[in-house]
Amino acid sequence: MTDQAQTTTLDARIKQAISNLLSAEQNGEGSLLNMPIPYPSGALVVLEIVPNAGSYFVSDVGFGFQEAEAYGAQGFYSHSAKQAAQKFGVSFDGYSIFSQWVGDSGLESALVYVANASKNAAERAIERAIEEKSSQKTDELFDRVEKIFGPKMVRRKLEIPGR
Amino acid sequence: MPIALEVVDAWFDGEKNLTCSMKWRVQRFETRTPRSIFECLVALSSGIVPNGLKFRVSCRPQYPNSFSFQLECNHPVNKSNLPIYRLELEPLRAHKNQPDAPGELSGLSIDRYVTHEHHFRDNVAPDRQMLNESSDKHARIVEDPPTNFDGAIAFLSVKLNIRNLTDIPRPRDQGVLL
Repeated sequence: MTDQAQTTTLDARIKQAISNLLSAEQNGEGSLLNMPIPYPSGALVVLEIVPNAGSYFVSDVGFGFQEAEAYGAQGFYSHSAKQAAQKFGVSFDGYSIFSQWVGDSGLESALVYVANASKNAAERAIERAIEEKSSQKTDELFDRVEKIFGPKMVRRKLEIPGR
Repeated sequence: MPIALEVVDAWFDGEKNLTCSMKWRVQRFETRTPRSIFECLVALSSGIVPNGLKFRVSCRPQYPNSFSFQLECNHPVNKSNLPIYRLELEPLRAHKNQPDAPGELSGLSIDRYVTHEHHFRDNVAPDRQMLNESSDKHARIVEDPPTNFDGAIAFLSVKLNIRNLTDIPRPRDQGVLL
């Protein structure tokens, strides 16, 4: 195969990959768009884009919440989603992460930031669920060790001098 | 203590029963149409519910053909859940397996609406015989998949060996905002 033929083949394959990763589909009054951003489970972020009086409403359709829920982290989601929404300049309604009244020139940015806020919120909620009981278990272990050896023999934190 | 795979195998293969009343719950939100949830603890034939073993279904009325069904248990140490098995029926989300998935699952790309399953056995390295936080990262396409809710319930009642799974009613088309 010549260099030019190889380049053409590679170019075609990359275009196909991009098309596969960023596929959009009309759905009812709006569109669903696959974003090449994975949640922890490997599912990709999907966004719903609905025209709204000359602007757009962009939402994660609550999939960030659903992702957290799959790992039992729904109780941590609200806090992490509020933080993520603030960090990425979008909104959160207790379920969906979204951006509303998006102007035509701001659509691409809204897609990027809603998608990343959703992923970030789900990841953080799951991390917190994993951390939560672990620290509780650490406290329980400390209490047990303290009971056995007495408070004078046990320190929760200890500075060790030296390099 | 982590949960040994042979223990999860016994839960997965053993005969089980849902232990709750067969009712769906509807969650409503400000800016979106609601979604329906079904959650129920699952008991082994001995009557014991090990590690909070639970069956969960979720769907959205505006996407009536897409369902997520999951068998899960509590993590033994922290507050997260460990998915044991999940069936994504005609999901809205595509799925990409990571390159480190075993064998033919490595890097597998599953398109939106393609019914697939996440099985804990596909997610554990051969040298690690414990269920861990990454118990659902890799998925495989279901051959000859169910195509609707009733078909999925029939499929899962055999796959998960839950005797009264077929008692779960279809979610009503409730809560779609006009």
